[in-house]
Amino acid sequence: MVKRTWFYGLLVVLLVGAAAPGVVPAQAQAADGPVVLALESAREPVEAWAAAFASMEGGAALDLRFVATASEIMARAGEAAVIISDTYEETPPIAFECGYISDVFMLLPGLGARYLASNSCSGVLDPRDALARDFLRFAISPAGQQLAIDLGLLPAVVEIVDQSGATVRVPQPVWRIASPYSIATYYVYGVGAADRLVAAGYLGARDPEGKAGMLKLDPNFETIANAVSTLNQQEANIEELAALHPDLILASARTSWLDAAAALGVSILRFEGESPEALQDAMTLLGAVLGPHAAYQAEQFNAYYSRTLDAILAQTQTIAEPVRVYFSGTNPLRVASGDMYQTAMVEAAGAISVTADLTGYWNDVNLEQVAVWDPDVILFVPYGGANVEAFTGAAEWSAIRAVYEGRVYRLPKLSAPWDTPVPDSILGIIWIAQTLYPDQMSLDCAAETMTFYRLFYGYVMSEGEAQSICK
Amino acid sequence: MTLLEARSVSYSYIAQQAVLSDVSLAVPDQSVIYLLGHNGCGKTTLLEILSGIRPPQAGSVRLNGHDLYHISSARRAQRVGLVPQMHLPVFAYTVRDVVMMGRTPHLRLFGTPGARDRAIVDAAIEQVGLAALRDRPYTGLSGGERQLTLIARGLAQQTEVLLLDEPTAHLDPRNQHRVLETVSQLAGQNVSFVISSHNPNSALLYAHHVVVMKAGRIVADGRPAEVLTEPVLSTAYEMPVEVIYNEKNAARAIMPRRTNGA
Amino acid sequence: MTPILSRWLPGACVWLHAEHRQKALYLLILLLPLPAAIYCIGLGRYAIPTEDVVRALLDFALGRHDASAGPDIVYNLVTRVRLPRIAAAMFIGANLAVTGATFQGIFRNPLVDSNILGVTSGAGFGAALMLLLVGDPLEVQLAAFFVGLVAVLLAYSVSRLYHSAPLLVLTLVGILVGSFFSSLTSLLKYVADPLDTLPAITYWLMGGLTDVTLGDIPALAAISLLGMVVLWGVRWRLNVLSMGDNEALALGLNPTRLKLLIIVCSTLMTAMAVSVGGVIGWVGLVIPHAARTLVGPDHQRLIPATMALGAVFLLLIDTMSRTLLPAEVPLGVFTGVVGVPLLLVILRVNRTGWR
Repeated sequence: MVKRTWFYGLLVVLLVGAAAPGVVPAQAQAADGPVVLALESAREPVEAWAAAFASMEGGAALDLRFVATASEIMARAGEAAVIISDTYEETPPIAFECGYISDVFMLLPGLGARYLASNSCSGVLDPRDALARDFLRFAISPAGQQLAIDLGLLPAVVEIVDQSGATVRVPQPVWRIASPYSIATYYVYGVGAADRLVAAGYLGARDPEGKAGMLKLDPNFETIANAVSTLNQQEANIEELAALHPDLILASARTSWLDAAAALGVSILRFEGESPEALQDAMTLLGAVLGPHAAYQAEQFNAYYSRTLDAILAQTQTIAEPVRVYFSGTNPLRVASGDMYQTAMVEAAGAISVTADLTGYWNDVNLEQVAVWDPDVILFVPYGGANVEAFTGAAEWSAIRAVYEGRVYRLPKLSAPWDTPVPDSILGIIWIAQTLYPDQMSLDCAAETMTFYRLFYGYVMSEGEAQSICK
Repeated sequence: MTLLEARSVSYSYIAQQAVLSDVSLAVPDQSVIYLLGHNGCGKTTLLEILSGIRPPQAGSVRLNGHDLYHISSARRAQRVGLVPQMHLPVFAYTVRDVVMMGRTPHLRLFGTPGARDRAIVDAAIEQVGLAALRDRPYTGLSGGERQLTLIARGLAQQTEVLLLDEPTAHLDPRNQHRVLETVSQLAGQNVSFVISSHNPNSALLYAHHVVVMKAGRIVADGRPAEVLTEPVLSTAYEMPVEVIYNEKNAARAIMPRRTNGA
Repeated sequence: MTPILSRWLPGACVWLHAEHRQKALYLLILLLPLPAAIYCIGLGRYAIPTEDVVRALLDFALGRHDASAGPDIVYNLVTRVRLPRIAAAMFIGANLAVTGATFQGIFRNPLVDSNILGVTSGAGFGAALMLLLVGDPLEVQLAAFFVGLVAVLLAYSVSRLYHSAPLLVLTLVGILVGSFFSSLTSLLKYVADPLDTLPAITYWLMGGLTDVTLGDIPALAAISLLGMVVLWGVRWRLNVLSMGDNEALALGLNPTRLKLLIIVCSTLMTAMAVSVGGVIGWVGLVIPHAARTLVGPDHQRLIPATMALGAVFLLLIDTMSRTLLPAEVPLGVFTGVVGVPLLLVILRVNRTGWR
């Protein structure tokens, strides 16, 4: 008797549970779903995205409203949670009590979207605003990209020439990225595709400071970093890598195990981004194969980079005597040669590197040579145990002018050091310029740092934190 | 008076293969003792044991009654010397440098040879007739000249007993004569010599005492006239031997007897 | 060269004995280090007039330097950069050279240097390990020193297990232990972070005196001088030892104890040299040969001559390394590039002349 009751009870629960999903959508259709205001010309993809979003877990039905012109979208933006238009550069003229307008999500080339988080106060995202955000995230995700490909709006394959000169075919969309090149990993974050990483190396994130910084940027990064037991430029565990089913591998021209990886049949992009120009090319390259939003992010980054360099140039080219900089590495007498990215950064900041004539990666010099150069400022790297005491605490260095004038500075880092050719390095250039020319520089390191990490890593940094990195 | 004595010494390099079995030998003062025997009968091993560089596995060696292996090697080397069979060192020391090494046992802890040592060395070189080659590299000399150098080194060591391992093997008759005459002369002046040799005839001429070995044992031991006879030698060398007497001056010569032809 | 001299000084060559010439050459070699050091301390990329160099040295020696008068670049460079380097170069050069000579003697093999028992390979491993784990320069030096000693201890102990042909066994085991530590070092290089640790290890292994400070000199000097005194003391016995163990025994020496003493001394000296200057090759091999060609194989002269020549050689090499180019060229590069032609010249000159 008791057993039978149990059984019937269970049956009822199961039946109700099966029926329940069928119940919910009807409720949602009662105009409670977020409003999406889009251009009529974008009806096809938007409806496809919305339909897919509605049926997926964590998704919901959306209230789609289509209008003919972009100006109408701007006018009616107040009623929407999401606006999709081709004039995405402008923000709609709306003031919120508390709340904000998001940055652009590029859904298709030329079709950008934003969500308006009108209900979100003091940094906490309201569930309805979160839904809007999730919809846009879905639309730019590989799943969303796939829908667009099915509709013929995006190419199924992108063929591109990588930085080693090889032509690479990358089938679209790219779902899973493996990045053994620990610098390229940061390109992926920079173009906003970090959620697709399955295994990667993280430059500078192994020491406690770097790890703490990277955890702020991506709390999940250790899972990705440890996904494959050996994954670096010299060696990789190919089988473990294969088990993760990557669609794209990001390598450097110096990675040595790529022949074995080619057997996996996975597209491999080789990067060589160790100069300002090459870095920008690398971002463009990566953006081109990861969908329209990534391409847009890359474009934004390159624009930001160029703008910043131009601004610095304009402000420093009038200076009569450029500052002479001695850039040292993990050891006070180990210096960056003229070929290296660090020298390019110093020069971009409007200064002169005293070691620019040296060639071939890091060079060892002796103290006499430093005395001959007589630099104004000494900069050193934030890794490898380099510290300021190596200069200020050493009796031999005490007679070097930069040391006794107290102008010895450590380059900042959050995760990747700012002197390495990662996207963050633009902040390094700003920092150098501000440190060397505090009177002439209008760009403020802390402010730019906050903007940069929000835009390109999706990480909102407090002003205090930015100040402490930039000091 | 017995200076140096081996008592019942035995030695084997490989287990169960004895190179020396129960060998006893006494070296009186002022004497020249010849050690004869076939190749591999243990002569070199016996000399090494007698010289103090290879401890016997059974039996003992006594120097003036004291166990040779219980005195310090420096003191032992001042009393007993060994002139090995030839060898070629790696570095091109001069003849003088090599002979100077004989003075080592007489130097103090961190000492180097002084004027007196140099004088002794030069005299020793003179004694073996190599004065003209004194500054020549040892490695550039002929076999016989090298042998003379080693003998000079032994002389420079100024020991009471000097053991020579086949010292005349590469010498021409003139040099053999010179060396053995010097030996004889020094024997008269308080040095005893033990000479291992393949030349029974020089034993006849110079030995006070002859010891014949075969397969690690002593088969004959006594004065030359008693030991260097046909039966003893032919047994020892396992070949026909003829002893020729010259009645005129009572000298003898020992000749192998030809087995084929006339 | 020699034919010219004999034309100029025919009379001199007649009554000037070969022996006197050799003695003069020997004394010349012994007197070389001091003038060389004085000359080299005046050289450097930062031009300092001679009188300023002398003044700085006097101030240093007499403790007259007034630190409160502000930073004095000349004083700093002369006493804190050049002086330690010159002292280190001379001690290390003498160390490596004389230990090479003694090992050639006791191993009766002119092709060995003090690394035959693995001390340099062991020290390299110790340094690489510390660079990987800690990176503190003092600890790197200590690790290099002690692991170098451990390597030789290992080689010596293992070789004692085999009772036949002791010298050959010791040589072989030494080579094996050296290779073993070299392989371990390669493993460390493989594991090291290629951005900073790996280059640090590589540079350390290539040898260099860039980072030598005054603080390194007392320990280096103490062990070097102690070792050199001991080796100088046994210089005569090395002659005998190099003839063979049996002969050494027969001549009243204890070859095992003597060899042990020499090995211990040489190992300490080499480990000290490597811990300060990294792996500097060629000196232990080439300098003894050069010295032998000039003063002969008798260790009474060879040992002091090797010390002097080694000191001067490395001093010149280091001076070149720090003055020729703005960047430092690792010492290991120059010792081969300069040492080999030098040796060829010495061999040639000596053959046509003096004896």
